[in-house]
Amino acid sequence: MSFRGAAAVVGVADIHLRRGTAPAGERPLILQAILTACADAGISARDLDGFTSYAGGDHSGPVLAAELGVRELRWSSMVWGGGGGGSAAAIGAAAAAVVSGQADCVVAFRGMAQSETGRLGYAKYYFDHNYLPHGVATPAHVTALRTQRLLAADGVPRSAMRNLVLANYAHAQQNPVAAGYGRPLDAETYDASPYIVEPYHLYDCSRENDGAVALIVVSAERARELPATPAYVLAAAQGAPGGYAELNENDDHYTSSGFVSGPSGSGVASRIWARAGVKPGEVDVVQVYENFSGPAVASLIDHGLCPPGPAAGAFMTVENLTAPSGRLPVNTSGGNIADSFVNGMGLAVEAVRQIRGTSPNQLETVDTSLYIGGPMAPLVSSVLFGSERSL
Amino acid sequence: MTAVERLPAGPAPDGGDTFFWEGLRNGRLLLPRCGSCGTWRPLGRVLCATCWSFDADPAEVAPRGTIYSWVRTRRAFMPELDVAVPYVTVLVALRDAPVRLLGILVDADPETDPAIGAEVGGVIQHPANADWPVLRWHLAEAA
Repeated sequence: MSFRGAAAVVGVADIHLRRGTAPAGERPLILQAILTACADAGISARDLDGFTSYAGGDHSGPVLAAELGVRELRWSSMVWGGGGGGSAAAIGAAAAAVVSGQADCVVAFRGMAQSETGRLGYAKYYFDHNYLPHGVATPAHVTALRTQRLLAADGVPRSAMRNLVLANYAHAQQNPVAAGYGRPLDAETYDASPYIVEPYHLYDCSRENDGAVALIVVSAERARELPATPAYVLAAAQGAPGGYAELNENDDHYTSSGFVSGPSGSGVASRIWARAGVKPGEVDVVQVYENFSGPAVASLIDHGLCPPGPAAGAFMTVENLTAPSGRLPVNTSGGNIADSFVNGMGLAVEAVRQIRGTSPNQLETVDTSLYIGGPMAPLVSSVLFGSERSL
Repeated sequence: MTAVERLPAGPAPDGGDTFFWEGLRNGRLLLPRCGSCGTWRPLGRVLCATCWSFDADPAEVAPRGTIYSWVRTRRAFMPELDVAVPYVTVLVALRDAPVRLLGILVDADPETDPAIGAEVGGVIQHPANADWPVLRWHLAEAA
C-alpha cells in the first residue's frame, strides 16, 4: 500500500488562551481539544485508539485513553527530540499508525500551559553548562547565532525576515481570534521595535499561549464517510541530515533549518517532494513555523520555496507572501507570530483549513497545503496535505 | 528566595567533560580527541562518530580562532550571569582544531558589531558566583 493519500485529517481543534490563564493546567485543555476535534470529525472519542505528540509532556496515550474511556488503546508514541521540530512528525506518526493498520483513529495533539512548562523564564529545562555560562539561555539565542550567519555570511537580506512578519500581521487582520487582530503592523513600527536578542526585534519572536491543539487522523476510506472535507496526507517526513544536530554548535549546514539534504543525498524537504510527487513551485499555500522569523526564512530556502542568499530578498516581499494573490502565501491565519503559539500545532490546523476552504484568508483553489514544523531544531519535520483532486 | 543562583559552570553530572573544566582551572584549553583515530570530538559526545571508539584523549589546543557567528543579548534573561546586558556572545571556529566553542566577547564595545571571520583569542575568567572558570574571548587587536 502506498502511503500517499492513504490517511487524512478529518477533525481539528485549536484552543488558545492568553499565556498563564489556563484555569486547570494542561490536561483539561488537551482533553477539551480532543473532544472538540472528535465532534468536528463526527466521531465518538470512545473510538479513538491512538495518541501521538511531541516535545515531551506527561499526557501519554494511556493517561488520555483512561480519561476518555476509549474502547481500546492501540498506539501511543512521542516524537523524540527537537521540541516543535517534531510537530509535523507527530501527524506523520499518526498517519503511519493508520496506514500500517496498527490503529484506526489516531489523534495528534499538543497542549501547553505556562503553569506547567515554565517557558516564560529562561530555558533552564533545555540548555546546559555548555551554553549557560556564555549567556546563551533561550531558543532565541541559539537560533539567532544561526540567523546572524544566514544574514552576514549567506547574504540573505534582513528584509526577508521583516516581510514574513508583516505578511503574518496582514493575515491576522482577517482572523478575529488572532492576537494581532486589530493591531496592524507596518515596517516602521517593526524597525523601531526593541531588539530582544540581535538580530531579532520584538516582532521577530513568536508568541506564547496556553492552549491545546488536536488533529484526528483516519484512513482515506473512512475519511470519505465523515462530514468534513478530508485533508489527505500526501507525504510526511522527519529527521535531520547526518552531522547536523546535537553537536553543541558544531553542526554542518549551520545556517539551514535542518530540512536540507545531507551526506545521504536526501533530507526532510526532498523526501516530502519526492514522496508526494509535487514540486516546490507547485504547492498552493505554506504554513511555516516561526519560533523566530529568521529560521522560518531558512525553512523556506531549505524546501526550495525561496531562493538562497541575496536572491531571497526579491522573493520575500510582503506582496508575494500575502493571500490571496501572492505567489506563495504563508501563515494565512497569522502564524506563531501574529495569531497564537501552541508549539506550532495551530499552523497545522490552518494548513488543514486551507484544504477545507475555511481559512480566514482562504485561497481560491487549494490542492496542496504544506506545514513546515519547527526550524533549527535537532529534529525537524514537514507534512504535505492534499485535496481529493490532488490524489 | 532572593539569593542569586550560582552560574552553572563546571563538569556534566556524568563527569565526561571534567578534564575540560580542570584544564581551564590550570589555564589550558583541553578538548576531546579520539584515542584511536585522532578525530576531534565536540564536547559532550562519548563516542567517536568516525571509528566508534569510546577512547578520548584530552588534547591541548591554542585558544585562538575566528568568529563563526555571534549574537547580542539585550534582555537580562539570566540574573546569575556576571556580565551585564548588552553583551555579545561569539561562536569561535578554532584555528588548530575543527571545533567551534561559544564564549562571551569581553574587552570590546558591546554596541559594535563584530565581523564574522575576525580573529579572537581566549581568556579564562572566573566569575565570582561560579565554582569553575569559563573561557571567554577578546578581539585579537585588543590582545
